[in-house]
Amino acid sequence: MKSWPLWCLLILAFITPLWASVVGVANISIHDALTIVCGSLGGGCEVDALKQRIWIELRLPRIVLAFLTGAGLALAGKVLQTVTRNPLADPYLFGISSGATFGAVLVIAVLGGQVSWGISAQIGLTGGAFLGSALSVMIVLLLAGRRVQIERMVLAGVATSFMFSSATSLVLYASDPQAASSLLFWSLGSFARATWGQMLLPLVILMVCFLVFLVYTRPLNAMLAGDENARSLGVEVHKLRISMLLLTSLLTAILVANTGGIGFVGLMIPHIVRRLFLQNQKHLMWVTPVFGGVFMVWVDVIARGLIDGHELPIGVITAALGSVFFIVVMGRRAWSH
Amino acid sequence: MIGDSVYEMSDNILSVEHLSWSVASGKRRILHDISFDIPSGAFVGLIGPNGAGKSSLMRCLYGVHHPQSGTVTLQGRDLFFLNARQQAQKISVILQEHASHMGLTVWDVAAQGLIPHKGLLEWETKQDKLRIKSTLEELDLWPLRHHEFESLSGGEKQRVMLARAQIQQPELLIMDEPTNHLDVHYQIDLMNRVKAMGISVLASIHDLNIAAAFCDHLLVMDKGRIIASGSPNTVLTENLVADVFHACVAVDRHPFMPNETPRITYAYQTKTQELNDRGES
Amino acid sequence: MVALKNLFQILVGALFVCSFEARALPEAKDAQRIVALSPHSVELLYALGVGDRIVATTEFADYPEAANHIERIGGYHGIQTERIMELKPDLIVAWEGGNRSEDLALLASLGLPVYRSETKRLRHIADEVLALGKMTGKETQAQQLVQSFHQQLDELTRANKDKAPVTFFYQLWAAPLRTISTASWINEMLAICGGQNITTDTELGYPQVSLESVLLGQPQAIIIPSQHGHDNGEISGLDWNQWPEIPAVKNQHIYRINGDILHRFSLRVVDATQELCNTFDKVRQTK
Repeated sequence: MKSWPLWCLLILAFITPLWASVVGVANISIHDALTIVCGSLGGGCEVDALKQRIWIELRLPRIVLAFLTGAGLALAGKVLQTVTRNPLADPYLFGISSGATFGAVLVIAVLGGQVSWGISAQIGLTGGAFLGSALSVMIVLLLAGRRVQIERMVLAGVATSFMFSSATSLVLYASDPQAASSLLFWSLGSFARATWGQMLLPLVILMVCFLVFLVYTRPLNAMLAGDENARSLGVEVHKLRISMLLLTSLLTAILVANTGGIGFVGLMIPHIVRRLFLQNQKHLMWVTPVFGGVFMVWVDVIARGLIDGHELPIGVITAALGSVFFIVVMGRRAWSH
Repeated sequence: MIGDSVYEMSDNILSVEHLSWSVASGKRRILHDISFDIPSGAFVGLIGPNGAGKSSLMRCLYGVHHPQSGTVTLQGRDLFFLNARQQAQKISVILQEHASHMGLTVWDVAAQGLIPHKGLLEWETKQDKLRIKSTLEELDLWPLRHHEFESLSGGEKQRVMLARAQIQQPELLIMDEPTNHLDVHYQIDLMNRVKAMGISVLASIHDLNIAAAFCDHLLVMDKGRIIASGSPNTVLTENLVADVFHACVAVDRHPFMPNETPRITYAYQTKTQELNDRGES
Repeated sequence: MVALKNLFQILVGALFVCSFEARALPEAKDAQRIVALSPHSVELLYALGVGDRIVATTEFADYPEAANHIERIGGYHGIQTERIMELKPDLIVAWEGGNRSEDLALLASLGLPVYRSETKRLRHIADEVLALGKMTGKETQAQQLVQSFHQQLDELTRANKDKAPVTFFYQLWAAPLRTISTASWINEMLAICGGQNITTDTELGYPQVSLESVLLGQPQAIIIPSQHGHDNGEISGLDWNQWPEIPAVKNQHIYRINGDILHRFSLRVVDATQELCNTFDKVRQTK
């Protein structure tokens, strides 16, 4: 079992945020960054106040939120794929993304008349999105029946997605073009409004979910053997499945509510990680989120830096970058056999 | 129970009494009043035509189905009072077909046998690792340990399942038609290895000759009931095979197996043809 | 469905290319039945005194008051072409960029006279007034309006020429943070008042920018247009008070200006410009 890929990943996980923090419109070099850190820790370093503010209040929260989101979505995707034994499962299985978008649209449509300032409005948008995804999950679980059957659940999720998407489109059609464009931007994902305060809840939920998933690694892997085999190994299959579905939904919903619907990561990162870390299957439960987090930080850098003076939505880049990456990894493997 | 048992009434590892099970909220009964015992260390075969309820019976025993009535006692304790994990510590299962296991290696799958014995927060100890290693070596799987389970042949997969079952250290091994889809060589190999384990076994077997050769005791099921029980040579008669399996056979003593093992030879004609023949002569 | 829609668009586009006479000024000399497909055109037509000739218009045409009674036949998402045909107009005043080009191409291909008003530069307002005057037989009126328009703007330019420039950030939308650049016509008004936009490095008229660039730009004033007329769905405003590093925030120079007249391509931009100049004067006073 080779461990150098793991070390590579860990090193990358430390370097990437640092590098990402010195990329941006304002000219902040690594030297500046280190000076800021030194200054904040009371090391008596002379620091440009504006640069410090930008670095600490704008750049770092973005990077941390990007990492959290990437890690959370990748982890949710992995657990869902394991628990449903479906390699095409992703965190939006229950129409979570469409539900969140619909919730956000409703908030905008209902509260739109009041122009508000500050954090309370942001909470309104996030809250609405979260309620929307929660509603979607409830509908899917109701449709899936008492003993959760995977096929019914997947179908119910697809149907619910369509339902919320069409409702969203209708509301958008009837609203101001500026509002529609704003919502489109939100639904494609963005870390531009990251603040330290906003991150506490997602961080806590991610940590809790991660620990639970880590502890349940063995029973989760037993699910891969099939329901009957898993039961014969002592795993309470239905209970485990439902609780994992609910946990991943919670994790996904809180992330989507904060950052909008970023696609692709939850579906593809688990596959990419599995193929890249063939010899380290045991560690996938922590490797997947770390890889997802690093990936998302890169994506955010590209979103900020690709076009001068203009920010691209994250969802567009995750899809483009991730699919190319995946094709390369698959292609390599196909030809090496 | 029809027929007599010639085995000794030693301690029973498993006792099933009056087990019944229905589906579709009681509308369709699959198992009718099933009762039998498995003595400690015995290799018990379950035979019968497709649809007799063999798999359903086994699923009741390892927790996938919940019978509506009857009791099952495992080493003196009521099986259904144990939780899934406790059940898994005593009973392990080998099925005929397997899910893809999505990327797990042979080692990973074999190591799953430890799951019932490990708390959520326990690591694999060095001892565990040594045990997995020696089990894999015994089953000639050591060179394959890093291969993906999915990429193995049918026979190799069953050996991995056997390794997993062994690592699970059960008191009772339940096998649901484990030799289906296997080459003859692998069928015999698997059965020999299982027998060599020396633990109590309940196995449903399709091939009557294999059942005869390996089992100490046979249970014959048809239409959800046990219609015969006893040693192979008392149970496997031409009449029983004709009634239950609707096949004409000749039964004699196997030329090189010990213990008066019966040998089933199939007449490759249908019953009606046979009756016609008899009618003619 | 999508394939059909694409095919339709291609056909319409082809028809449009064929009927390129729509590009030139329509032959109308004294149009009596006018369909005005933008709020600003409605205003200009009323200014010319021919508001009563408008038979249909789009939503949000709310000035002057009388315009609210004109039949509405669509908006940003599309227009009811069938109804337009039914009304038998002899002039359609369309909005390049504000109406869907498929709809306009369709109208042109049906042989209806379509005038497309351009809204790229401030002087296009004057151009449109003159063009509309010609097409409705109100040329003298138009000349007068244009003269007065230029006069007022010249006065403002002169009055503010020698004043100290005021750097500003124009917050068009908060989420995503969108502004106007020097390429936008709205910027011309701000420039007349001596304003200097901090967003200069792009050719896009309405780029999305990051908060960082605003911090770096250090604007002395932040202008936020607000629509009083209708809800624009902007609910998550930006809390500028978190950033006292910006001079505009420190000195409390964040101003909300009536966006209806700021963004509408009508003669009232003069009033809007006046308001902007007053605002900048306030900034200069307390500097």
